[in-house]
Amino acid sequence: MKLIYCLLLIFCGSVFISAQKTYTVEGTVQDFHDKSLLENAVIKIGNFTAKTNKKGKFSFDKIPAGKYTLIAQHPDCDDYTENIGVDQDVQLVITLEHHVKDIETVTIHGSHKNNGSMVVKTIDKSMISRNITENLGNLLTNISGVNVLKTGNNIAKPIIHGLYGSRVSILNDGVKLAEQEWGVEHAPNVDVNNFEHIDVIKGASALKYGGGAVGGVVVLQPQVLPKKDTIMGNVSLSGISNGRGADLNVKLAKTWENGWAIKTNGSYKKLGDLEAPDYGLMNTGLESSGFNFGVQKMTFEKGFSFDYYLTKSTVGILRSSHVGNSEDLRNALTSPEPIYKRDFSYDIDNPKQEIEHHIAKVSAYKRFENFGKITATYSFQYNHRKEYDIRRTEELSKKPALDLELITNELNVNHLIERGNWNLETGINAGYQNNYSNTQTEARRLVPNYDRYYAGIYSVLKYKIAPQLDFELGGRYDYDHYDVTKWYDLSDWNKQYAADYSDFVVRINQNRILTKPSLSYNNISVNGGIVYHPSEYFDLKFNYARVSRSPNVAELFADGLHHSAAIIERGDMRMKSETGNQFNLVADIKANVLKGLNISVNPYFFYTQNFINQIPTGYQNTQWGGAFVVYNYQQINAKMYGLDIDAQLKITDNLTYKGSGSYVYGQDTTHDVPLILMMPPNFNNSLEFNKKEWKGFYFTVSNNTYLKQTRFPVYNVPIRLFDSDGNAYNEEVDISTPPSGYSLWNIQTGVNLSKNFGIDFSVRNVFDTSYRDYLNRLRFFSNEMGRNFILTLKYQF
Amino acid sequence: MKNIFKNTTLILGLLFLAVSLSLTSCNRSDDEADDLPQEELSDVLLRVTDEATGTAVVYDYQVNSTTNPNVKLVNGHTYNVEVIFKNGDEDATQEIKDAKDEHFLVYNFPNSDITLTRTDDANSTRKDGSRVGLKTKWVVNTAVKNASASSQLVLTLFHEPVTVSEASAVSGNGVIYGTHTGGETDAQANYNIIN
Repeated sequence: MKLIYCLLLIFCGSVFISAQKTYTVEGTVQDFHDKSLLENAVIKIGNFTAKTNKKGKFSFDKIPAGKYTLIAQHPDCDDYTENIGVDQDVQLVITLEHHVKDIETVTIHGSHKNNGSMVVKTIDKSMISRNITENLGNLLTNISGVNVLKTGNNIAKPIIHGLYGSRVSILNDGVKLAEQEWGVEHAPNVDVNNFEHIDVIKGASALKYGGGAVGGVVVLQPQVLPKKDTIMGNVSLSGISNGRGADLNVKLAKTWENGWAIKTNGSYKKLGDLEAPDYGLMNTGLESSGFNFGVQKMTFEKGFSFDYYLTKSTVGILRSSHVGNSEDLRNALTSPEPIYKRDFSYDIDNPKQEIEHHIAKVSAYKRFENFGKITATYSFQYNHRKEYDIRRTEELSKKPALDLELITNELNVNHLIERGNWNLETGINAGYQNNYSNTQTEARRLVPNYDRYYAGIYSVLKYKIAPQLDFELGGRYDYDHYDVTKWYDLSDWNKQYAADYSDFVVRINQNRILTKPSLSYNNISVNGGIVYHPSEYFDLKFNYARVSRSPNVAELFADGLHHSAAIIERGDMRMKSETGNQFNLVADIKANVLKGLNISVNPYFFYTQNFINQIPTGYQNTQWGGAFVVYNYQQINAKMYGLDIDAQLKITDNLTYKGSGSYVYGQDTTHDVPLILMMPPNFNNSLEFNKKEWKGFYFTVSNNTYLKQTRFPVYNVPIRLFDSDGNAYNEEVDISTPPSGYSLWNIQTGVNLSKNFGIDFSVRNVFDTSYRDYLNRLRFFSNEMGRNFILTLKYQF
Repeated sequence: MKNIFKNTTLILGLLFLAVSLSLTSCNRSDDEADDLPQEELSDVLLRVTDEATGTAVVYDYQVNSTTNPNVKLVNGHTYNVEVIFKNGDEDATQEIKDAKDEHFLVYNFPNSDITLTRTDDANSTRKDGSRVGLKTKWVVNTAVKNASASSQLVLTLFHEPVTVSEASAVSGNGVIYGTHTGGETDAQANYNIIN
């Protein structure tokens, strides 16, 4: 065969030589970053065209001498042009880059094409856009196995596989949010409007984001801007019936073909008092605003970006949730309706939170042809949280009862090298954090002032053993150091720490003692996984991670009273790092049922040693009278397992069913009791009718059903009462039993009225069902909010 | 090349800005001020004056204390009682008078027969007409009703109750003066009552 070609070539060549002098131009086309050879690339030289074969080779054999523009095109890649002069036979190696939308941006997020053995679920652009008025926590509940821990409706933090707080990292455009993530009533400070894509990585396998993310990682990614001369923008305005509020979002971007781009986003949301089905919820309003500005210059080979994010919010907390002691708590529990009521108002009074969060980020990357890609990111974060409480005098009520300022500086350097059947990602990060707890509050600090220094290094190797089998191995080392300045009550110090930590003592002032604890932690985490892909109908992933997390500052030093829960929280300086072993299995099955069926099953198992858990260890009397449960952070051994199931069935071209369910089991094996605040078993089902031809019309009916959580530890508060003989006795206030299950219906519909103008309308809790949520800290005081109509008008250009 | 230089300058500039911002804020960690709370109460004092003799005795309930003071009351006597709140050495009673519309005291005698009337002046009378209860007159009929149970006063200071009333109600084997709805407990003091 080859011989024939050769003969033909020679023959043709000789024919042409006689007419005009021609040369051969041949070469290969390959992918820039993994060097794989690209098939079906079209090469044009003048009027001549050739296609690459399976080995990425192309050849022209009769190019007349002269100067040409060579164009190489591939469906997945950007066009490549080069001026070539042909005056002899030419050998070329053409390197193509992927489309901008496919490549990683400056953000150090994992490539979407290859999540390896990680369990990743995504909330896409259309889901975000349809639910633009929701906060991050509530939005994430659309993912199976993800739930929220709430304080009312406006404060929601994500729970992944039963874990939350410091165990879930949230990455805002590549920057790990540094805030008071330990607190149950501290919601993540992000504006969902800034992002177009949210990945949730379940489990601890994402070592690159830090060893502390035992539960998982939420990766928020902004829009990847195209490389062309254009202005893009979109404005959405929503009206929200429950709370009589509005939400305005504006996005603008100007891009240039040479890779420069500037963008800015803004949002403003205002809600008044929310309403439960039978009554109004006093002081549950919200006012929040967000701003984002970014400038970037990105080409395939190198780029840099600067981004600034600001979120500001004032959040009201249900007035009735503030109780002084356990007797007040009992009164609230036995009262069928919240005690405090008012006519609808937009006012936000105490108790409330005022939070401000700034992120400034500079990032740059460069690709080296034989060395891979290097990305460096420096970020600065400033978080200011003020919590206003119900206090004795008007003067004091004007002062926040908690005033924390947290400053975080972090530097990340990442290196990624991709080759045909393997890639290796390595990175280091280092950071400095300073927390200042203002004494002007005239209230006890919940957490002390501290400096934290931390650094980490990791490496993850992904290797393709066979076409059906990928293998992955990662390791990470983290170092954490705290320098803390804390006052203790002398009696507490003497009882707990005096014997072992006398080095930390600075001075004693009457019944108080000033200490400067200095604590260091070393953590090693490893991760291994395999992906088996025997056919396009079946994918099996298995992942094992051994993770280690240092205790956070609340777990070490918290010292305060939480009024609304009537509990006292205490940290413990002796805390060690918690280490967990996690096993995750994911089976993704596709089947040709009707128009296509996808099923994903994710069972998991964790065993954690020294799991840091807040458990009640006794009672304490305070000035408020009665006993408060003292929740100490303690280290226990914990066992958790669970199952997430997702199913999607395309019934016809226009009708799709989606269903998901999750169950988690958590047990404190040290005390042999269930873990507190585990997500109740739940199911979500939805049916969507969708017709592109009708201007993108869709109509969705969905149902969320939560069963009652039957596994819970019993930690009740005693109160003192008197019998008819005048004898005192104790009665328990039940703060442990979870509320009953519930089922909610929602509908959502939308259509694009014109090319630029669209409309979305949804009704949440259609039947105005009264219910209480086990994972809402305010469940003792009121029902959840009732029916809500949301109308969103969208204009984009 | 020129372009790269420009970018580098920009990045360095921003880095410098950020670092200088964080440096200026660094020195805050040296702040060694204690966080002594201003809002808490350390003592609830009862100044009990026997109308007949005019002698006053002060009983000090110390917050968090495990022992309660013994208030000696003689059956048949009438006492004028004043409540004083303290935060360390500071007198916090004035704070309560200043915010009198937000406060209310409830007296619970679960094993005594004492007739209590509020004698507050305008300084501690709420807008709604109810008296806060910082000053009271106790007519002691039977200080200890059931001798086999301990007799006591549970005095509770409520903050921001929704409604209050000076009305009394049965409490255990005795009577409670003052009712309220809503609000949170600001302080609770316990005293033993003895003959």
